Amino acid sequence: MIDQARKVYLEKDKWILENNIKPLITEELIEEHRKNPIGRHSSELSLVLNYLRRHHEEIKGKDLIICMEPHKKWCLGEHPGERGVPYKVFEEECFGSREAAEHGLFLKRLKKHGLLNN
Amino acid sequence: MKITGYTDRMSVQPGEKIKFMVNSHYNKYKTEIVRLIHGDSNPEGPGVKIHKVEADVNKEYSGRKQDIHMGSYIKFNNQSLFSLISSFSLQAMIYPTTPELGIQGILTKWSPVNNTGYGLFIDEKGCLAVWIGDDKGNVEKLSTDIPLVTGCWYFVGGSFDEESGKLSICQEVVLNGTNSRFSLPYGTDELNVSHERKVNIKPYADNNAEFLIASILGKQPDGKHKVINRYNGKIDRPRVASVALSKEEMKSWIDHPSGKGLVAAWDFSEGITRKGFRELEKIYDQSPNQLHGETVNHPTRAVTGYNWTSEEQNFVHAPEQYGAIHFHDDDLTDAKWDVDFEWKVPDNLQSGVYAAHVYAGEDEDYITFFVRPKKGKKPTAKAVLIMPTASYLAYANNRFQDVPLAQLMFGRAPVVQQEDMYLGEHAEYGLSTYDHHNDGTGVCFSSALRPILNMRPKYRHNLSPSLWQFNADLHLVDWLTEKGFEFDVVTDQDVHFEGAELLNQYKVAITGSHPEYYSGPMLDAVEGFQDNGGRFMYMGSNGFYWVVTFDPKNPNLMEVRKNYGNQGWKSKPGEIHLSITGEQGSIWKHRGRAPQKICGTGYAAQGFEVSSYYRRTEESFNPEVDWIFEGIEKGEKIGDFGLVGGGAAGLELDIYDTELGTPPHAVIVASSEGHTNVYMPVAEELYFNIPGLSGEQNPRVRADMVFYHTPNGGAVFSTSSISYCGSLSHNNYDNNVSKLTENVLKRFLADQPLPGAEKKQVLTK
Repeated sequence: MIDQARKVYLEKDKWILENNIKPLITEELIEEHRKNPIGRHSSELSLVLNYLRRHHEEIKGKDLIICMEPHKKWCLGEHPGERGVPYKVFEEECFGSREAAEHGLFLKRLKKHGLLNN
Repeated sequence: MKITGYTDRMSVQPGEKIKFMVNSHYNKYKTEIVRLIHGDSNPEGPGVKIHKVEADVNKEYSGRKQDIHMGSYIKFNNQSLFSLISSFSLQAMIYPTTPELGIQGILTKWSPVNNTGYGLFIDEKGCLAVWIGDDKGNVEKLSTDIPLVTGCWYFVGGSFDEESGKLSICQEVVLNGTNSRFSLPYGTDELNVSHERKVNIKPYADNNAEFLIASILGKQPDGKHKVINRYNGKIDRPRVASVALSKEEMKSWIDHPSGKGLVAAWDFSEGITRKGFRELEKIYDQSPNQLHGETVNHPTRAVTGYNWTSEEQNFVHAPEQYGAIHFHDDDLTDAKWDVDFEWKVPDNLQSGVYAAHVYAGEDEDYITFFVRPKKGKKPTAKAVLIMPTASYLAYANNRFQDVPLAQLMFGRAPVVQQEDMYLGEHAEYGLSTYDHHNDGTGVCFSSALRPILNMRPKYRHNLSPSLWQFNADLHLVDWLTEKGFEFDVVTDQDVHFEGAELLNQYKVAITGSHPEYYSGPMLDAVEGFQDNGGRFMYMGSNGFYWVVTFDPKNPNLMEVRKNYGNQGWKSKPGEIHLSITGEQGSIWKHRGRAPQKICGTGYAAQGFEVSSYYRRTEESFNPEVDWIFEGIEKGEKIGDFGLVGGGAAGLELDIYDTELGTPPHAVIVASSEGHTNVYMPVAEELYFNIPGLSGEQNPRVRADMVFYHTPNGGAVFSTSSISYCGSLSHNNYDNNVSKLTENVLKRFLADQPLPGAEKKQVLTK
């Protein structure tokens, strides 16, 4: 995408965030995700998750879950955006289940987009 | 991952030898041949089952590091004329795809060690340049100083005249309505450039570097080729002269290379036959010098040339418009490691899934291979499991975590495993047919001649909530083994090269969970088996989908051209035909061979976060089919449990469709429900993208379990779901999915006719 198109994309993405996503963030919505991080979700939660997962269609900085020990330890990570470079692992953001990691990632993304206070 | 390896073949038969190539960062490592039964380490399942096999290769070995050098290029055995060069012209039509990445070799005889030689390059500014280096370390470089534009065809030339000391460079944009990213030649005055300069040095051509196309030869500490400054893009009609031709002469040489100083004029379209390239690696020189070359790491052929008009879509019909080769700096089809050990498979070894377990310190690898029954010997097993090795190759070392929108498709974050971490850092392990090359074009070749880190027991795949492909297929191997069924194992390559004759030795043929990639000969083999009275169990979904082929001389190499389906990439215009065969790629549906013809159902929807269950249909209570559900209560949900997403119906789903070839007498015996909105219909079934298509709203998002009779006492049973086999082991193999599958397999293995087989099936409506 050339810069001009990128600029317009990001403007529209911001509009979507402000108008369509932000109003949906409630304690109940976050609780819904905590109870069931992976699987059938309400329409509102699906909209929010799709927005967060899209990450402006950029691979650089995209959030990942990295399995450090099978069935024991999952950490949040980040894609470096190019090949041949290790994925970032945030050793201080680790969880004891895939589901807990998915919820941890959800909260992290909400904060990143200013949708949840730190 | 300090120890990795691969074999020289995927399929081996008793009595044959198989070679193992190992990269070990440890001085010593141990090897143990093992039989693989179950590779799912999930504590909620039966656990990993790997059995040691007595073998003379089970011992300690000295380890050594073995590197992989990626990048495609052309090399030449005969270097003599390139070494005699004093004056020269180097020219080609080029279509660069990453000029911004800096130095890339186009036509080079350049030693980066002592900067000697000559060549035509893209320079560090992304501009065309000619370089010469003398034997004293003096270098002259002449650049156009105009950055090349990505995705546009250029005529480019560089020359040096020894007598006058004149170094020249020229380029002209060659656009037409179809060949490039743009059609109108805006600003040609600026883009078309000719520069010359008098220099005081002469190229030292008899240097220690080989003449190459599309790269520069790097250091060779181990005597092996390692190329650097690898070119991304297409090259068409390259020519070399031993005189400095004028620009006009060079231009006339594009299509009519002849006359003074002709050293080489390659025609990359030579070797195209009505059935694809005669020899995929060979390239031919039209000059009397016959300086033929060989491609390394399979750059893409059957790609449009500078003169492509779009009137022909198939290279075999217009070879003169397909004189280009597309090189990639990350092409990799042979790791070329030295052999560490070789094992002669014992004559009495049971057919199955095996591996060489190589281990040292805390690291290990399972170098997986498949032992098929001996050719020419009547099999003792009545069932054969076709391991979908074409599909393993397609997904080999895939990197879904690199795909920007994958998390939306998965409905969750991809869980990156340590193997994926390693691949992220080690691009040289090669890409899958789901990945893009560094220049954005799709990967159309995959090879088994490299470690395939996701074709391993214990590996958890991030496209699935747990397992996918090879390790998921071990769920089925485990169930067959636990249930005491005797079965042989063959690979897709075996089926491709031996056809129905191979399958016809068996009463029952069973697929893996996702036999997605199929060649024409493989489809012929399955249909031949079905027509011959064979009984066919399709144990997955999205099968018989992509058109692929294997290189007849190298069964480790598979080609696919994607488009018009649900896909990781799309072929460029005019490039959908397979270079190996000349046949149209894409999905079989578009070639009149929809999967419904093969197994009664075809790909309809996908989602990858949670799986669901089936419910019996009213028709399933018909006495001709209700034996399938013997021992299962009437209202039971079928498979609301399992190790792949928690249900037997999930990930990818197929449905019944008589329009696409489901035989009219086929019965939908169960169908899945309750899929989430992450499940979406597949692209090729859509006319328009409209609201209401996702799982919670769309009754087409389902898996149809189907049964039907085939001629001569045969039958087809299709589960139509990828996650199905993950449910087989639930509750210690005592569950309705296991029961149902056992009912079908037992009946299929029996010599008695199947209920309803006496009824003559006639095509209706």
